[in-house]
Amino acid sequence: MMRKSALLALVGSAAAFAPAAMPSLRSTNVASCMQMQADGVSRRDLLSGLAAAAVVAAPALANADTEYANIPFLGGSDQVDVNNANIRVYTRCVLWNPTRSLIPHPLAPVIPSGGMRVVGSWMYFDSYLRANPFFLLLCLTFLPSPHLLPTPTGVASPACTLRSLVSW
Amino acid sequence: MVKNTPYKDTADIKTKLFPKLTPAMQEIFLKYDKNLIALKPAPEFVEDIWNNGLYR
Repeated sequence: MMRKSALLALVGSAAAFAPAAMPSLRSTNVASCMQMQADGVSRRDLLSGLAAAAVVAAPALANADTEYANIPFLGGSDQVDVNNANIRVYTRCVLWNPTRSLIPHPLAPVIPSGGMRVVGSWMYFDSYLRANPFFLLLCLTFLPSPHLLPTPTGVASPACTLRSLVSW
Repeated sequence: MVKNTPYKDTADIKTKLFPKLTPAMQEIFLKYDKNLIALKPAPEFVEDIWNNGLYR
């Protein structure tokens, strides 16, 4: 009796692990696939449609205008676009950027060689002025007359120079 | 220069600015007039044209 009951228990537990439950799951998947296909939403068709759309859209994206074509005229060349150039273009005076000047400025040779650590960016010049306030007085003393500021935007230069000096 | 934007062309710059300049400024302006161009205003630049970028 004990052997029969043990055998029945063994068979029952083995049946629990048998792949008998899988067919029902598989049949559900097949049914859902058939249902999607019946609705006209085949996954393969959907992916192929997306791929085709990407192929069509790719040239349009490649031709997108990602950069403003007239960037050089915003302060990076000899010509200045007066309609789009920022006010900083006009405030970039010869005094602060002597290496960028088209025509040498009387003070330009003094600034890069007169004990300056780095000249190329006015930020460094700003820090230099903070550390050496007497140099600011020197600049104010030799602040040139308007005709000595030969920048392309020379009209605004004298006022900008003074403003730049005073704003610090 | 910035205050009177937009300009239609380079001649418009002279028309708008010249009467407001001193003789010395006019001389400089005429000297460097060829360095100025007036392209079509772009909203992304015109909107921020007064920002001098100085923050503290």
